[in-house]
Amino acid sequence: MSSVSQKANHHALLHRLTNQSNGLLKPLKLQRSVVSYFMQHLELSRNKDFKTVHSSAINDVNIDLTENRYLLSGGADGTIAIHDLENLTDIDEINHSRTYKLVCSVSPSNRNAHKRSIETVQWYPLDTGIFTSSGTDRLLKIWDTNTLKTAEEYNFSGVVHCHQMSSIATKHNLIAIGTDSSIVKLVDPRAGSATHSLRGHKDGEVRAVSWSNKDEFLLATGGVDNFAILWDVRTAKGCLMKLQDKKKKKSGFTPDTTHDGSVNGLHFTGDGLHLATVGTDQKFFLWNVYTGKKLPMNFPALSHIKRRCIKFYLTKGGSDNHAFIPTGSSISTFSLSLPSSKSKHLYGHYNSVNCCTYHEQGNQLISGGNDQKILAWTHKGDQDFEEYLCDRQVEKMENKVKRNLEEVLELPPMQPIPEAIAQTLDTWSDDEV
Amino acid sequence: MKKCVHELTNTGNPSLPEAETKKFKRLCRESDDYVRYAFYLIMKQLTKNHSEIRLSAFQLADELFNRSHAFREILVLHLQQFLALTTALEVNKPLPPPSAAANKLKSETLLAIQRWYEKYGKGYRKLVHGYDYLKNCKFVDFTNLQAQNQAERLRLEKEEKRKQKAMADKVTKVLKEISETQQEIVNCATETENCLKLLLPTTSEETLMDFSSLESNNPSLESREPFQSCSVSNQSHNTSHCTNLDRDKSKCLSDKVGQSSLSGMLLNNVESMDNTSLISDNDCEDEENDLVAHGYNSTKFILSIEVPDKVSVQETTDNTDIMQSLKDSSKLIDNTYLPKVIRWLEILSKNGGKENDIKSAIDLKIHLETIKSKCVDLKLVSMETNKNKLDDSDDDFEEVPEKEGFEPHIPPHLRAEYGLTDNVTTQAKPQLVTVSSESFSKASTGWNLKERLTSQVAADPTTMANALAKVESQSVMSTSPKMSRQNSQETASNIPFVEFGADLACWENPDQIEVPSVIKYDSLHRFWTPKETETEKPSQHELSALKNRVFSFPGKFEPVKWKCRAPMPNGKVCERMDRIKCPFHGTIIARDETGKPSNVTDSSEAHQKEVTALVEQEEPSTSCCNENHELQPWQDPELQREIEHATGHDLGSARSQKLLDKATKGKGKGKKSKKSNLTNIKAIQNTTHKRLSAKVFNKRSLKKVCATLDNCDYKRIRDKFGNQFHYSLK
Repeated sequence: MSSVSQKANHHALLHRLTNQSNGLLKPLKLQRSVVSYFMQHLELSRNKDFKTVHSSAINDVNIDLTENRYLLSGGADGTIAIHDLENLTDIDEINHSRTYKLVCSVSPSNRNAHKRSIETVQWYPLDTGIFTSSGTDRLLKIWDTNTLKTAEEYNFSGVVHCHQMSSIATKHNLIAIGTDSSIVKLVDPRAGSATHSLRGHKDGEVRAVSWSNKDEFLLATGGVDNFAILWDVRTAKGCLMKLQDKKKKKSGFTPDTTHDGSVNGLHFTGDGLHLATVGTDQKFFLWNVYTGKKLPMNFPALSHIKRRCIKFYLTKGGSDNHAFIPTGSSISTFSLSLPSSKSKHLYGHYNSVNCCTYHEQGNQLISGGNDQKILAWTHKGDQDFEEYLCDRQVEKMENKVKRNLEEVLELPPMQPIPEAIAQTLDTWSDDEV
Repeated sequence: MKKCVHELTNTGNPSLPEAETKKFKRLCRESDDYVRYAFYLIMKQLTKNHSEIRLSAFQLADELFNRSHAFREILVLHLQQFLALTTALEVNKPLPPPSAAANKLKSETLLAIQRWYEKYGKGYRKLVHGYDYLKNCKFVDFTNLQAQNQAERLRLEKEEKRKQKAMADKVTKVLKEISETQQEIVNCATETENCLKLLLPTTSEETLMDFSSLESNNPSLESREPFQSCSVSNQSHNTSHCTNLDRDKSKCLSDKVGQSSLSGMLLNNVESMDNTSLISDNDCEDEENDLVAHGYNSTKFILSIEVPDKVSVQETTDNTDIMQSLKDSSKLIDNTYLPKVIRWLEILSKNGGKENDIKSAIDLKIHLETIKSKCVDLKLVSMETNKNKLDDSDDDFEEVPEKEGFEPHIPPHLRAEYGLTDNVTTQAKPQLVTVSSESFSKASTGWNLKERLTSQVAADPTTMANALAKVESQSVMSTSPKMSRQNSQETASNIPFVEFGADLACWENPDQIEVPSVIKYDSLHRFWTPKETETEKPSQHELSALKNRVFSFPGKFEPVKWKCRAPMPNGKVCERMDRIKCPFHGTIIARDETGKPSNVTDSSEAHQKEVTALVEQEEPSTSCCNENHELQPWQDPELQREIEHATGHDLGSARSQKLLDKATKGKGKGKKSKKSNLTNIKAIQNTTHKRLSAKVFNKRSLKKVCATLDNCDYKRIRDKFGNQFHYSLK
């Protein structure tokens, strides 16, 4: 079935291509459809690897916004690593894969490193010279990438569950921080201290913070009080609105909370008009940011949503955007515009997946999990690339044969099929016929 | 396919049955969808709570993994789940019970993962990740796994080398010994051979001579004389007569024939029946006498001579030395050389000696054996007994000697008759303990294990329990085949008993029984009594009264209403009215008018009983062998299981449990037989500790105990402080 739909997709894409060449379709639309085509059939990449640095679970990954090139990852033992997503090694004969090179890393033995688990890492949106990290050691650190030293440290009274800088802010430079306390703190690195505190959540931790990518003053936070709250950071008197679901809840505790469980993940869609929330009630909702209403769409139920910040991702570039949510040992993915009743699961990690992000330029999903691995997921697992390699090899051989024929030399020995492909062949022995 | 998987995984064997696996693979080969379905089925089996099922399922998966790409893909996709189910990597999901199988499953899976990784790592990315995951996160030491194997191999090699060296050493030692003693043996052998030659010519010569002598009848007998004087005679009791006859050979051959008809040395067979029918017996004899006496070889008579295969040589003064040396050397061969050679042969053949050596050793052995057989055939008459005989009796009487080198081989059931009890008692001694313990357990509780123990003890034919069981079973048989043992036990408890009396007290010396003297007061006055009271001598009558014992039968007499009615040879049926068992026809069973058993199973059972009884009488050793099929005492599955739990090694508790189950099934408890051969996990959990704790910590029993304890406490408190206001309210 999947192959049929794939084929249909393929045909649609080709159709669009002809339309575009005929001038019937805008090139941007074609680009978007191509991008979403790449999002659809992700598989574990067969030949892309990340150089292993972490010796513990990977809690967060982040790709810089300036170059879309550097991958920042933070581990549970305080390790921070930066991989170059455009610098691949040549094909390794042993592993038959190409690895993304490591740019630099902060080992846990480093003087400046986090003493405990890192929960969140983020690039400075405007420059790769700075990145921030926070963790369970109650610290938010601002790092100088070039020297790999902390430029600034902010201490908090509780565990820092999440922090975020606005990606589009020009008028302010605030870092929103969710900690064990119900008060959301806003840190201004220019001032060197926490400037604001947003009081609105009832008692309990704040598990998720997210700046809007449309309005630079709009902040969304989610906490264990089951509410997701939208703030305008300029108004000091209170929140903008609480996202409230009018539907009757099972628990009946507070009838109009956002989720029937703590709100553990927040993410704005690419256009900034909608906010996606993930809760421990294993549900995924989309909210209209301006009206505060839930979109009447039935998204597939999730599973294994843990009681910590969920780092999920909503893609931006495609015509049909997808959500990638770590659920247990798999990543569930589904289309946002046409959600089916069942989500697709990407199996690749052992033990649970902690975070995922989509590298739009490379058309690949990058995920990190408790098995200390960063995995790259590409369209059909780079099968095309492999086939291309095969073809090239065959071509080479043919050329050789031609040349040999011309030179009337003996035939070259048959090149064996690449091992990786040979291994995927069936090997039924004949005695079982 | 589902059935196939189910069958394959429920074998309980550590390896898959080949034919079934092939069939399964053939099914899977047909399409990839089948393979996927197979994966689904296998995963389903893997979730079963039994390590043996999981092990089999895993092996099946391994088979398919090595063959189908589709299977590899789907398994790699669900590798984590697969690993969780097979290797117990998740802490909260340990492998299910049979620990031996679980251990095997774990190690085999890890090995398989490594194998897969090496073989298919390049084709399947997630497999590599899985391998890395195991290595890095779960700290599975694959190199160690390999190294362990290597170490094991090394150790095995070393062991092998050591063994070979030891074997070579043994062989060289034996060869040296052979080279040292071979000459001696050969010398001894030649000596004995020469002795034998001197004592008597080879049998072939002798028979030839015999034949020739008989052919020529009387005259030839003369020629045979020297041999006879050399005291070649027949073995039978009458041989002495024969030799005597030789001396006074005036008697004709016919007489000898007459005598020898007794001894069986010569037999006159009258061939032509018409001849004998025409002529009377006397005439015939006369004629025969005449004929033989005159050397007339009649065609009507055929003399067939049976030459006895055993020949004895009498020791005389002429051949004493030879005899002595022969005896010595034969003894030497028998006692030292032959066992030695046999031992050499064993060592050589076991430890891979050279062919030539073995051959020569075999030759030597055969040589020695032939000599020995010759010596045994030839009964040697010892000089001493001969002399004794000469002293107290006539010269003509000579005793047959005792067998040389005779080893009494008495079948165990006849030992008692031979007065050989010591051997048996030594065998019985270790059993004694178990018997006592058994009786102890019997006294203490009515526990299940006890019965098992008794059955085990009863399996040994030397124990008392066995005898008891036999008697019991017979009695059970006799009452009614359906009656259980329990019933018989009940009846046993109902047996009336009489108190220990004076006659039993003085069982050993009945003369000492004293009748209690009775003082008889002549006057019945209250105060005036005679000074000395006379004790009356008890009369004989009273004494005998004491010695006698009267048993009163407390039960009700039930007249026997049935007859044996077994068919008798005279066409009637047996009219005996025994209660349980007819002394002639065995257990009384229901029979129809003609005396045939009406119940077929009954009859067959009875028949079987007879047969087994016969067999047991004949060779109890074999029956003992048969009973060895039952569990040995060390095979108690419960004990084994406990040891297994402690050590993690497979001691075969599963097998013995199966055996036990079979045994119980054989007893006909009506338990439904399980289809699969899996070990019973529930049985594993059913330990004595569990059962006891279930009883002890039972809610109701706990309540009861608590209540009584509370009562006790309350009582004590009331006794102590009951007069106080605070406590008196309670």
